[in-house]
Amino acid sequence: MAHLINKCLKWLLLAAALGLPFGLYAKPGELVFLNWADNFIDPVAITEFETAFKIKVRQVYFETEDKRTDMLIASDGKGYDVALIGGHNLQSYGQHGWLAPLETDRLPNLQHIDPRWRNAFPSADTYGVPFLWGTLGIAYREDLLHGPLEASWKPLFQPPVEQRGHVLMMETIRYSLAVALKALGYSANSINPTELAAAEQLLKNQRPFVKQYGALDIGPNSEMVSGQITMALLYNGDALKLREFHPHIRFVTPREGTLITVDYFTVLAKSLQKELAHAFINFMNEPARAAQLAKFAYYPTANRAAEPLLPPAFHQDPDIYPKPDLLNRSEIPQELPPRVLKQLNQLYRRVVGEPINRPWGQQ
Amino acid sequence: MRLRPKLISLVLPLVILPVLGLGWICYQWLADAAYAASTREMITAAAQLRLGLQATVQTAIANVELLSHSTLVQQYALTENERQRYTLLQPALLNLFANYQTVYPDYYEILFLLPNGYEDTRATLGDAPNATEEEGDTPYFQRLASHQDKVDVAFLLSPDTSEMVMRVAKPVWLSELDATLTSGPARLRGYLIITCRLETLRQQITSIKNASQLGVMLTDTQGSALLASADSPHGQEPVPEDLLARLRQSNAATPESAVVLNYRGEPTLLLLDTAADKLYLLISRPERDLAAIRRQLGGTVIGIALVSGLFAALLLLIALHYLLVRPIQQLRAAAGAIGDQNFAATPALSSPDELGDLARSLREMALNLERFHQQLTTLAYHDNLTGLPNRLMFKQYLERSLAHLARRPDHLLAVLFIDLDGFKQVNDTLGHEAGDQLLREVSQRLNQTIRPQDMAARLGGDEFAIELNDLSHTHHADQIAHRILSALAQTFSIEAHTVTISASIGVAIAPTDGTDAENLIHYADLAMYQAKQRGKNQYRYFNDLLNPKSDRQSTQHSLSPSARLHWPIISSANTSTD
Repeated sequence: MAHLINKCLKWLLLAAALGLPFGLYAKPGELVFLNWADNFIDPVAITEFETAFKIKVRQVYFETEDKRTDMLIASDGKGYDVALIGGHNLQSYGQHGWLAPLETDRLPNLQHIDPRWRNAFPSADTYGVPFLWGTLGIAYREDLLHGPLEASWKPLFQPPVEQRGHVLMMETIRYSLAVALKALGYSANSINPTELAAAEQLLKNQRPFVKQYGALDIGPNSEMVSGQITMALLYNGDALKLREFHPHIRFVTPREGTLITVDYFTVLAKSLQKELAHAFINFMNEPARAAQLAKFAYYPTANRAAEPLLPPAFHQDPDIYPKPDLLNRSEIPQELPPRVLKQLNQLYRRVVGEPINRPWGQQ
Repeated sequence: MRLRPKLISLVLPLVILPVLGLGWICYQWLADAAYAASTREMITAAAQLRLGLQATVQTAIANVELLSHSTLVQQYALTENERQRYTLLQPALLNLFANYQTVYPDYYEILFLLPNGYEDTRATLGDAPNATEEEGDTPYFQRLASHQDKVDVAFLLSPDTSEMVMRVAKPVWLSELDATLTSGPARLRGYLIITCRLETLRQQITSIKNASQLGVMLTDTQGSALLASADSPHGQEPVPEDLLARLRQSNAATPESAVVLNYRGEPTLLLLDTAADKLYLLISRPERDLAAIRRQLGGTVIGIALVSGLFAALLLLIALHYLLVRPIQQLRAAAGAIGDQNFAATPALSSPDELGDLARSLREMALNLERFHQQLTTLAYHDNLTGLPNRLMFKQYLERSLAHLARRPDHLLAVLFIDLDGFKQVNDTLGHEAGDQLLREVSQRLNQTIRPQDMAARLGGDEFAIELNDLSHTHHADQIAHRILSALAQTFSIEAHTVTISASIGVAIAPTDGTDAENLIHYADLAMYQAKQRGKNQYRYFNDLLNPKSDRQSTQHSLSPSARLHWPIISSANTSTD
């Protein structure tokens, strides 16, 4: 027992120790950017900013939205200047005192931003500058599949036999649940207890086939490139980016509709270089640069001035821009009543909380 | 009653009763030891359970303290906005709780309750049902709210699963950090609660139940059964409050001691132990379990006592038989034999004890008896003066000889009746002393004259009788009669006097004259009388009396005629030398 207590203590101390040093205090002449992991922002743009402003940009990466939240909890929002935040988190983050209201006069390029994204989420126009938007879908290895994949959420929840145990689900509660609700034909923002229970059951049924609830590495070393994971719930841009590293990676936007996510540039409330942070955001929204960033990341941009600068092939790619009817069936994650959020947290724990029992004994 | 049954009826109780008494003492002692062992066992079980429970409690308290001091929990507690809590912090908090639950699988529920009792965060292991999210009205929460400053440990039936659980609650008091980083007054932000399933305790109770047959129950102050050993028919029945009160009383008087009280319808050995605050451990063992042990013990002791008692009694009886009964029987047999004049029948006893002494005395007594018997015989059958057989003995001897003669037809037997001539004058002249001496001398001469198979007797006074055996002819009787006359005719020397006497002899012959002893003596007497009449110093046959004309020379069976003229001739020594 004492041994276990010790172990637990060590674990806690380690967690605290790891959580704190993530750029707790920015060094002078350094801009800390809390960014999506791997190949989201074109490094060329960062270098250009560093050259133009004669400042070092240090990037701190998060793999999932929940991880980013944990990092901010650990540092109490300190140590970062600029962060990319999902639209549905803006209000919580802002109210929690992590985000600084935008100083719009420091953001001349805000004029290029599509207003529909600026107001897509509560408090979005206060705290965030829309950057790229995307959709969730299924990324898969065409070559490891015995036949064509149905354009539906069903194969994700009832994978073909050869995919079982090789499925990756996002570690983000809202997204996993949202696609389960969509797969059942419900709203991704449903708060109907019956529908939620059905979605929970669907997720529980899927559990034996899931290799991991986490985030996929978007790079040459990705498990999808190596083939350990052959099917994943993924953002469209990430899937297309992965294709650069393996030609047989495919993406499908399920016909039931999907979830639309939007990332926003935000300035951290506890940043000591808010002026520079605004400058960074403005710099990234120069139309030409915004187009370059979109092309790099394979996501549609929220910058209207940048859109015409993108090649027609980009515009015509249905993986990047889903067909209008499919978009109509898709939803953005809405703010849900707090107690429903609490239920979702518990629902998710119930789904992932217990060890996965795989009848065929794979890890 | 004979000696043996008497001994048995004496010895058996004498041996068996003390052994049984000893057995009873042993039994009491062993029964007390069993009772003490049972009490010890109960005390040990209680201590084991109490320590186990205390360890669980301490661990849970340590964990709830640890948790309450983690940054995440504090941030969570400080975040008043529900949306922020649930969106930003709760997933991480649930993760943290889940990690604790991985390490402590008994912590099936970790809760964060708001100060108003709302169940804000609940991490459970598995799909534990949840009765309510609004805990504010439950008695548990009201108790918690009433003293909100320290860690609270409670044992209760979970409202969610109705099993006994331990709840360790830590009120989280935090002060908000304001912009100047100085802390304001602390406020209660909520309660961090670990609900612990007492699986280890339950297993301990089961193993105690299996190993020692002890009933174990955890109760609160009201006696409700929180956790009870399984497979009891009464299972979860509460303990009557008066019983609990009595047990508490007895505990206050003598701690760590079991008492026998009526519990669940039978006398039961009970031990009450305070396992934790307001939590009692009731260890019970039905009296009948102990009674079974006592019965078994009692049976064994009685069996051993009886067997050893009987064995000892048997040995004692055998010893008594050889040491007492058999010698007494031998002595009795010897006494009987002595009574039958078998004086040689003495018991073969030589032991140096009292019985040996008795046997020796008996042997001595037999020897004395034999001697007296011989003296008596001598007195009865012999003449005191001469030592010759008396009339009685002569008659008995004669009867025996006559009976013997009947089987030998060719033999004759003669009875000689002798009367001294002139004895009266000797007596009168020389005195009785001289007379007696003369009689003794006569006796000697008679004895010297007869043959070994003949017998001389003194019938009384100066009368003698002789029985002559194995005669083939009456001549033989003649010869002997002659020799007797001759022998008696010799002078006797009595007190310096020379005395000459003679004798008259009558002879009767058997079987010629008859075969009856009395008759024969009478006939011989008659014949002697005839001889006297005829001039003394001669003998006559009885047969001649009956046939006077018989040709047998019968007239004169005398010695020289001179002799018969003046007898007795008494001359003093002086005279004779003159």
